[in-house]
Amino acid sequence: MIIGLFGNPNSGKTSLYNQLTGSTSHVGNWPGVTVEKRMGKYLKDKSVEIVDLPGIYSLSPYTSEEIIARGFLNQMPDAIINIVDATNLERNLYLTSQLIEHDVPMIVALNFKDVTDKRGEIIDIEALENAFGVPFIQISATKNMNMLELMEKVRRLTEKSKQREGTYLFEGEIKESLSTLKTMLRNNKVVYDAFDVVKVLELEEKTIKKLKISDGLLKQIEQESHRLSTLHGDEIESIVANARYEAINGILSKAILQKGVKSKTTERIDRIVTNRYLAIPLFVIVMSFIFGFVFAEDLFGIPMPGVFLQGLMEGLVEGVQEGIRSLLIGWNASGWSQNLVVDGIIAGVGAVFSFLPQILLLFLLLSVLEDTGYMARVAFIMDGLLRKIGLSGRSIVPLIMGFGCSVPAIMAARTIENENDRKLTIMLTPFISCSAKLPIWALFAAAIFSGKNWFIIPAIYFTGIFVAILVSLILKKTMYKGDGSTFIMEMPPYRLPNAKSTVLLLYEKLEHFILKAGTIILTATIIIWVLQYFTPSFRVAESEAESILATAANFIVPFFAPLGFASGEHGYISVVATLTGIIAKESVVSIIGVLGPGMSVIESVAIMYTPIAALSFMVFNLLIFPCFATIGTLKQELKSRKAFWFTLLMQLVVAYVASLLVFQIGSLVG
Amino acid sequence: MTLGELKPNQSGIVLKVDGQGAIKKRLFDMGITPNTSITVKKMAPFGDPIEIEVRGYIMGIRKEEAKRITVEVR
Repeated sequence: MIIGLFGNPNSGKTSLYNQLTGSTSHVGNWPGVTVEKRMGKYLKDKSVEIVDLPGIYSLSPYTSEEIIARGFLNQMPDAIINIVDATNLERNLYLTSQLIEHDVPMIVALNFKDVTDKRGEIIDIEALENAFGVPFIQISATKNMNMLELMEKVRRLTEKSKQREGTYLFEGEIKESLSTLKTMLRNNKVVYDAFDVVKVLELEEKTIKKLKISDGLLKQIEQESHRLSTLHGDEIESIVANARYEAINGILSKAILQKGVKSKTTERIDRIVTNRYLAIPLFVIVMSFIFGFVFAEDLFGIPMPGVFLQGLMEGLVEGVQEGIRSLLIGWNASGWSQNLVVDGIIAGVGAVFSFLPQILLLFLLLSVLEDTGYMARVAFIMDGLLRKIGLSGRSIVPLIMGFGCSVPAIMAARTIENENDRKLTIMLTPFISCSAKLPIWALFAAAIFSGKNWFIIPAIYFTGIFVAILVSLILKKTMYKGDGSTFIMEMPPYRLPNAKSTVLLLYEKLEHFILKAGTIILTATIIIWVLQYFTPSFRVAESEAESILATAANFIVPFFAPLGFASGEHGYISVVATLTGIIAKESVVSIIGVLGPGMSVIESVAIMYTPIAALSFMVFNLLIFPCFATIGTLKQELKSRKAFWFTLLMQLVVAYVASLLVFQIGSLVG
Repeated sequence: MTLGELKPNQSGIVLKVDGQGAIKKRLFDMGITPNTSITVKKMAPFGDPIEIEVRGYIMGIRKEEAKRITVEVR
């Protein structure tokens, strides 16, 4: 049995999905958290499949979210749950008025019962049920209220053997026109549902094509549509939308028995947060705090957890490494196995592990930005500025999420309606330094620029942002000219982040990290260890220069030579680290751990690089493709082979040129 | 007068929405239809977009889009 979840953005759809399926999907408070449909099994009955669809305001096929939702509806699910934000019934029920026109069993779940109860709002559920012709129920997804009752009602819906038939809220003239059209369609043997008829009246091309309406019939339909337009002195789409809202207001005026007192909290917060003069300084403070929290030892004397936890973790990894080394020595394990386990696996994977606390903290803070609704405000306040560099306010969401991970960030770009804005945002997101690159910066800052952490780490983040702006400006002037960019975005009410879903999110990130460390990074580490331990004729290499790895790497080293980090005895290590970094960025640090000349990763880095070569290496790794997963996502989301290959080539050129400039200019100056 | 010309805290009633297909439809779907009351709340830091209240919720919209919406000041 398949049950679809439909609702406006920010209506609590994902919370309901998580509650029903026990999933750990992330709930964000900005339009477009769910960009692709997601499926999960109902916790209490595994035969029930729940499908979470992207949040939509309407079933017009203009955005990819709407197309996904409408496509799902046409596949005839067994039932749908329409989740409605009860604190904003007027706009939310607009979608409901379109959903009831489909021949599919449905129930409306009025969410945020806890909030409306607190406001003292009394809603006549029966009146709504009579008006819409479908069952209603009040729930609270986050507070777990009425979940069982909801699912029991859903079960009863699907029991009925007779399919529901679509109904209308429309009255008067429009209703008559729709009946006229129905007769026309029936006489021409066109198969349709009630929603199709409305779309036909609106003369929507997609539906006209879908129903294979003949030219003769279309003429008659156009006549009817134009008659209605002339009658109202307005265009047809406006008449229909207006009629929906009027019908809803009529119903609500009777069904809301007692109006609650609307909370002023959101408005009060916004008086500061989106204030014309305070908004930008506040945004800078918020972002600085986030990075300070993760990377600084202290902010104004108050100790911050990121660096502290990283130190603890590093101690733990070293302890484990030494413990296992002595254990292996105690067992008289052979030299190569000691080398593989202690200097290969533990040094490599362990080097990455020590940065886990900082990565989790970064995700925690970014998720708070999303969950509270602040991200939508950032889009609003930054739109003016971003438009100047060829993007839109909506681009800020993917770009900020990019600090966490490029993959969901690129997918979040789907909410950008303008095609050029969307493509450009996708291409630029990988330049934003993601959390997997964080270990590289922390490592180099400690090894080469000790004492200048406060400068070098922000500098590398700003370099990423700066390059993204520069590339955006260039592409906007050359390839992605043209306008048509828009900004229309709901500012959802502020909500407190849900502790349970935040913990689940972090758990998910932790799981993902451990899985990645245990598979991709571990495998890469072992392969690289084997390649550096043996010579091409499979003897144990006496010196590193004889190894398979060094021999193979020497073919590629010349390409990197002008960048400064590939020269010298250890130069090939940087090349191997950079190349394996394209699989997963965490492995850059692991590879230096395995191959490096020092006892620890930090020592290796200190031996291997001059400050200028280190900067060049960092810049190259900052700007080059982040990982396989991102490359796959780029391909999927750019939807064009040409744009995809162009993006990869562009990133390679940008990384190479930037790194070249850093090294050549740096060498001249210093 | 258009919505784009309203000052913060001014309200107006929508008379007409101009523009091409997708954007206009989006505005209708979001509740900006003739006879709807809209209040401009404030302007973003760069003077654009503007924050408006329509049908009980808050929306950000660029002046360029707001100029397509003809209103009668109340």
